Amino acid sequence: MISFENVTFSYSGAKYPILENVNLTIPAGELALVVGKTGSGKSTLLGLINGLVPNFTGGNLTGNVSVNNRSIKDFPPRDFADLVGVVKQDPRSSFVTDLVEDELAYGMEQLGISPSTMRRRVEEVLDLLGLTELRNRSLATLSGGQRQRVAIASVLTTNPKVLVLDEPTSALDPSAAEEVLAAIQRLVHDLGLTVVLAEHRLERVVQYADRVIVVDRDAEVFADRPAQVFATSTLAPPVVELGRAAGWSPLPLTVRDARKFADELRARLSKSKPRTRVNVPTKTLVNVENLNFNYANIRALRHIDLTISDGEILALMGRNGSGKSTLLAQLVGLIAPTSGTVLVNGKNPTTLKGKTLIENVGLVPQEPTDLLISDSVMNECIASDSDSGAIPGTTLAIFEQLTTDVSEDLHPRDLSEGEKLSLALAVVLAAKPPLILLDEPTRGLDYAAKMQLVHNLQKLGKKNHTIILATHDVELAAEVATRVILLADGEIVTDGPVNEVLSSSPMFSPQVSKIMSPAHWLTVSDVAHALEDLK
Amino acid sequence: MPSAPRRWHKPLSLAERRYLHSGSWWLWAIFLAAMAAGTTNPIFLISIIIVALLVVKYRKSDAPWSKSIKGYLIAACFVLVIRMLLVVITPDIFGDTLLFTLPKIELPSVFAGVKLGGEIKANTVYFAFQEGLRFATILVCIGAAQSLASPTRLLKSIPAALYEVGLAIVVALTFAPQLAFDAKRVRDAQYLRGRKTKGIRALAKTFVPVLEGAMERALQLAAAMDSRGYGRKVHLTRNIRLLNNSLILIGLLGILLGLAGLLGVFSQSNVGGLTLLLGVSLSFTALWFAGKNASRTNYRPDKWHIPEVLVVTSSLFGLVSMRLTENIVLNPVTSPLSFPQINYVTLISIWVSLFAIYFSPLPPQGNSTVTQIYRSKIMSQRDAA
Repeated sequence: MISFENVTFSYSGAKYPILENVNLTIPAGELALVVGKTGSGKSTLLGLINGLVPNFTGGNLTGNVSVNNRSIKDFPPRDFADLVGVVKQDPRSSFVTDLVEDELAYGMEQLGISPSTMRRRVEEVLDLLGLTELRNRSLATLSGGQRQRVAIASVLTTNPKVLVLDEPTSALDPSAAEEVLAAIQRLVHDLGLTVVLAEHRLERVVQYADRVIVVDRDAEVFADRPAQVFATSTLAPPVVELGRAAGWSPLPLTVRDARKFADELRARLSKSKPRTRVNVPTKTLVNVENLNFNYANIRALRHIDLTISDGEILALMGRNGSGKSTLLAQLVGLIAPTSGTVLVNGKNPTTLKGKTLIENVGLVPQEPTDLLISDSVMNECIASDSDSGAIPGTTLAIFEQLTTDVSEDLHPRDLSEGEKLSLALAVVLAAKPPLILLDEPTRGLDYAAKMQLVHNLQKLGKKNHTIILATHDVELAAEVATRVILLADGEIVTDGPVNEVLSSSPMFSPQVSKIMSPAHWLTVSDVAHALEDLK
Repeated sequence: MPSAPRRWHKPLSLAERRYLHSGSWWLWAIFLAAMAAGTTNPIFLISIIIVALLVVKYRKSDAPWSKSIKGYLIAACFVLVIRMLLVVITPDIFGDTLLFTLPKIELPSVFAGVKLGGEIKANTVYFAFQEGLRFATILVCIGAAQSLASPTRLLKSIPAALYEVGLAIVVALTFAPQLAFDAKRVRDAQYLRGRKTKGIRALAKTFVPVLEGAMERALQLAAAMDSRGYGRKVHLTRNIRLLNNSLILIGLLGILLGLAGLLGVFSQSNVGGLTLLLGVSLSFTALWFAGKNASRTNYRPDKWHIPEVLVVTSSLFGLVSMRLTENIVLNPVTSPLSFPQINYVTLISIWVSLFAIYFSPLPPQGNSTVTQIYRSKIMSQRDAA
């Protein structure tokens, strides 16, 4: 269906090609999962399928990419509209109309499909993706998962043979991600659609993949069956890593497969216990009492009572829109409570301004680049030093501890996602705030960058910084958190130590916990350490 | 292959919730605005404003664009105030009621026709109030149309030849709230860096990132539209397109001139009707011609039904009766100061436009984020229980 022949592509001005001599074929009806680090060329590979690369990005392409024998060298992207449907990570950027039904019809209108056919196909696709309830809704009012399904539906109406998805679930909470992935799987099974999907959160998608395409800057791009790829790949979901640590063969790829081995492992570890990560608290840092916050007739936060001590790493979890970001905004004084009190380090954050604010609390927003204002890493660090009144060079030194080998002359926009996050974190840390807040830090991070973040956060925790993470990423929470709070509808539903909360929640439990339950193991590293100790 | 029935959007009754044809709301509002343009009588103008606001209050949906009336109201107040403040620099009109005297500044002769300070007469102020109010009323009418009619549904009824223009407008409309959101994000980030969020310098610093974001989104949208087939087939040759566009332009110009003539901008108003007719026919020819060659199809276009016709008629009534009203009532004298005369037939016919509320169906519900989130929460609680 899709074939890459000797494809070499380089962006203009780049020294080395981002893809070199790629030869691939993706047969019809398969779900191909594209994995690789950020900046390895995954998005470029996806963009080549309908010619958006190089038509919209510029750059130099040799070799040939063709879909259904239609070559991107002969046709512009718009002539692939009936063959390839493309869905971006944030579908909001690609919505043209404002109503669900109109968005579904848009592509067909461009192709000049007759009104009666359009009407029929819209109904079919609405049913196929379970969107009938939403047909009259304004796109601006949809939740993340709904938005993603509408985006998929809107490219399906033109009857494409190939669906290309770039990180479709990275901004979604676990249940919304399930919803989207279930829809995609149905398309593959029922319609025989060929799907090419890039995703960092392997634990969510590996089970659906027929084929894995590994993109690596230092090696040849290749495709193989998931079992073969993950036998050796450094990028692997926790279930595979657990299998490797426990020496299981054949390596399980799904939680279901792994459970068959789990009895034996649980028996082996019956005497061991997961490491505890509770710090000894010395003082209370955050005190929230009966906090309420109303926003446009919605009670966004209700009766929040919360005390957090220094050295705690708290994961705030919950659906999209459950009040996580709102709570963070309260703690940093961006918004004032409707009623109740918030005290950070004994002070009311809404009264703090400028330097005193950043010395008490720092927030890394969902989009870390928002925080970055300069045109190079060096200037960013200088600006940050002067903002926080730190000794010149402080921010740069912190940044270099958080990451490795980054040129100081680069524009922050050109950094990888992980490096952007590190830079924003360094800017926040320069003022030495005891409380650090991170909103959805792992969005768009690959495994390596995520491990780096985990390492950095653990180090900060040991230095008795208090860290609060709002996150959908259960694996991240399992790795670093000491305590987890589940929010729903602006209320605290559960508050407890990480082992208890995560292993008892069906939606928010990490893969290892699903495999090992009822025993309370959360992460591969915990299991690996315990196995190590047994020897 | 089974095919869907051709007439799918036949309303069952007036009680059925649906969007009224956008064109209908726009015509209704344009007629109101035309009424306002033809008079300076404050009683009439205030009546028009009240009618427009009442219809908006009872017939706007809860979609984001319905909130635009607020902005227009603010702009209208602004215009009124500015116009009244301008009396300080406009020359006196004849009048005898002295309000107060400001210190007068003599200007060099270059600025003949402009004065600064001096005697301020109540007549001048009243005249300024009338003029300002007229303009404010027109603004409110446009705002009403914006709040009542969905911009995208309007796009759907736009003739194929004007599709690109309409699309640009819709994209711009959806971009505007996004820009405001971006600006807030950047301001928040400055706050988080411990920087100033108020003042000119802070504003200047938000400007660049917001603009950057907008550019980036524009590029992403362009790529998305292209990959969804936008601009896929162009059947018209260059020359035909050129001819077509010129025809439309000339036609529109004719319409504008004709309308201006009808509203009495020119001294000989009998030119108006003929020019308008010519303009309309030219434009329609061009649009029909372009539409015939369009390769794009239209999904569920809005149709005109009886309510649409009734709504438009309701304000046409006032417009016609206004044309028949004598000038002294439409443009009351300001010197000597006196309470404006009223023609009750005209006044009542203005208020007839209010019937739009009864003629038009209620808009669909549940489009705002707030109600939707709230509802889904109630639903999920019910599910849980």
